[in-house]
Amino acid sequence: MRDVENKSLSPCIRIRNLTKHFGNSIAVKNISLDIYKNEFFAILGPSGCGKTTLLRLIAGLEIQETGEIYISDTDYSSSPPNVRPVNMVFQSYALFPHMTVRKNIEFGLKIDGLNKKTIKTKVLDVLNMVKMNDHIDKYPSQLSGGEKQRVALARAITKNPDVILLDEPLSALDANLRREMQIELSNLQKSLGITFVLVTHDQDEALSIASRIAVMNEGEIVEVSSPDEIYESPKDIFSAKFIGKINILEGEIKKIDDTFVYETIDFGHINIPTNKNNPNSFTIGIRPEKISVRKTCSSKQDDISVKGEIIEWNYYGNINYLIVKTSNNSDLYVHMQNKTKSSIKDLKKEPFIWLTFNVKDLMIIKKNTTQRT
Amino acid sequence: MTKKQSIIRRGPLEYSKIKWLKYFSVVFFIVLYAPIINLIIFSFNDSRLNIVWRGFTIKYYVKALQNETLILSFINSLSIAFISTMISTLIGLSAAICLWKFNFRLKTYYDLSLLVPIIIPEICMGVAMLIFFNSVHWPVFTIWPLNLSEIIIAHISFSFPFVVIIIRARLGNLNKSLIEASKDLGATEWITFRYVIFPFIKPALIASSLLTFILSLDDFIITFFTSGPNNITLPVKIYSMVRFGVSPEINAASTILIMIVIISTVLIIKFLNYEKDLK
Repeated sequence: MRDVENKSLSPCIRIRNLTKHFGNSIAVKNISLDIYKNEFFAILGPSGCGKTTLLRLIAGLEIQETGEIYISDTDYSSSPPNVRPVNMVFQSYALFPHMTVRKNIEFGLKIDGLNKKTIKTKVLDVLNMVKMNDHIDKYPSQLSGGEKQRVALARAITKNPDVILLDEPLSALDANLRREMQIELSNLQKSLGITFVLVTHDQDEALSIASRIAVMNEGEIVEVSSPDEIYESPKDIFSAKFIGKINILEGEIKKIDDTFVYETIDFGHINIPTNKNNPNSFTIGIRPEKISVRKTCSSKQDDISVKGEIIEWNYYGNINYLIVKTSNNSDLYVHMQNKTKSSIKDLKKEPFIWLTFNVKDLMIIKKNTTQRT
Repeated sequence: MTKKQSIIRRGPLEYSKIKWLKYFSVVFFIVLYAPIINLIIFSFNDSRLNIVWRGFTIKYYVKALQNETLILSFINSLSIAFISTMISTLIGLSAAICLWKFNFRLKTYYDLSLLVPIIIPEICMGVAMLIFFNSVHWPVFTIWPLNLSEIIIAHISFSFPFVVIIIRARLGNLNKSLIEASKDLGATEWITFRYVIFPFIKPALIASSLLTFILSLDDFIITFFTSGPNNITLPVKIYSMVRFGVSPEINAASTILIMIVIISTVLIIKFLNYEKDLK
C-alpha cells in the first residue's frame, strides 16, 4: 500500500471525469483514474464494458464529451492522436500490408524526421528486443500471428513513448503462445521502464502480468487494486465474480450481543468483523480452491466443515473442478488438487465427503447497490 | 424408403461430376468465341472477298496501317481514351474517397445517382449528349485535342462511375485500424493518405483506369452521336467501312482493337488480384 502511495507522486496518466457516449449507449461513465510511471496497468472487464473505448480515448482515437486526460503532466484532452506521447498495439496488429517489417517500424521514426543512420540502428535494436531480426525484410502476410504481434509491439516501442497502450494484444494467439507472450510482455515492460496499459477480458492474463488492475463494468471502474488484493480480498461483488470463481454464502448479518454474526444456511453462524455502520451491505464468499475435500469432519479451531455429495466431476489431470451439493441443497464450487495418484479413486468410493475451509479465507465483499443484476 | 435415402445424391455445386455439363461448356465456349476467332483468322486471309480461305498473308495489316483516315481515327481513339481516363480517374478517385470518408445528407441518393450513367441505355445517353452539345452551342475546335472535347466529355460522364465503384469497393476492405495506427505513429492526414491509403487503393486505381481506357476505346454508340465528320474514332471508322463491304482490312483493324482490349483486361485482372499477395 505504501508503495502505491509513493508512486502517486508521479502519475503518468491522469484521467479526470471522463465520459463518452456512442449514440444512446454510454461507453465510459465519469471515470477518474491515475496510472503511475513504469507500471503495468491492466484494464479488465467483460466485452462491451467500455474498456477499449477508455484506451482509445487515451490514444486520442476517440474524443470524450467531458473530462480531461493528462499524460506526463501535459493536458492532451483534445489533442489528435499524432501528437500524443502514446503508442498503441492494436488488436488486429494493424501492420501496413504493403510495407516490410523494416518499413513498418521505420514509419513512425521517419515522421519524427530522424536521420537514416539513427533510424537504421533503432530498427535493429527494437527488432532485437522482440527477437524478430531474421524477419526484417518480410511482409506482414509472411508472418505468423505471434510474429505479427511482435512486430506491432516493436513498432509501438520504437517511438519511445511515455505510454504503450495494448488493446487485447494476445487474444488472437493460441493458448501456449499467449502464455509465452505474456511473460515476454512483462519482461519487456520491466526492461524498457515504459508504462504499459493493457486492455483485456482475460482475467488470468491480467492477474499474471499486471502490477495493478482496474476492473470495469458498464462504463465504470469498479475497483482498482493489485492482482493479489483483487483476487483474495475484492472490495466489490462484481470484481469478485468476474475474476475467478466464487461461492457466495447465502445468509444475513445478525447482531448478537455486541458482535456481528453472519448467519448462513449451510454453515451456521460465522463470526466476522464488519462495518458497523451498515452491516447489511456486505456479503461473504469463498474461493473454490480454499475449500478442502476430506473424508472426515475437521475439528480445528476456525475451521468450518459441511457434509456434501459430489454431483459433478470435471477432471483436468492436475486439478478437479467439482460441484458439491451440501445437505441444505446449495451447490458449492470446489477446486481440488490431485495431490496423490489415488486422490480420485479414494474419493469416489465415499458416498459423502466433508468440505472444510478456514474462516480466515472468507472474503467480505461490499454488495454493489448500483449493480442491476 | 431406407433404400432411397441410402443413395448418395449429387450436391448442386459438384459440377465436375456431371459429365454432360463438361461437353456443354466446351460447346458453349466454342459458340461464344468462334466469331471472334474467325474474325482474327480471316484477317490473315489472302482473299479480297473474305469467304473462303486462300492462304496466309499480312498484307491487309500493312494496308490498314497505310490507310490514313484509319490511322487518324485510331490516334483519335487513343487520345480520347487516354485523356478521358486521366480525368475520370481523378474525378472518380476524389468522389470515392469523399463517399468513403464523409457522411452527408442524401448520401444514399448520391450513391444511386452514380449508377445512372451505367444503367441508362447508351442510345439515350448518346442522344442526350448530342442535344446537350447542340443546345449549348458547343464551339467547334480545330486544334488537337480540343477538337475531341465533345467525345472526351461524353466518355468521362459514362466512365467515371466505374472508377468510383471499383475504388470504393477496395476502400471498403481497408482496415480502419491501419489509418488509426498511422495517426498513432505520428502521421498527419496527408501522410496517412500518401503512405497508407494510397498504396492500398493503387491496384484498384490502376485496374479502374484500365477499365475506363477500354470502355472509352471501344465505345461506339455514344461516340457516334458526339463525333463530327472530322473527329471520328476507330469503332466509328470501322462501322463506316463496313457499309462498303467487309474487307480483310476491317478484320485487321478490328483485330488490333481486340488485342489492345484483351491485354488491358488481363492487366485489370492482374491488378484486381493484387491484394491476394498482400493479405
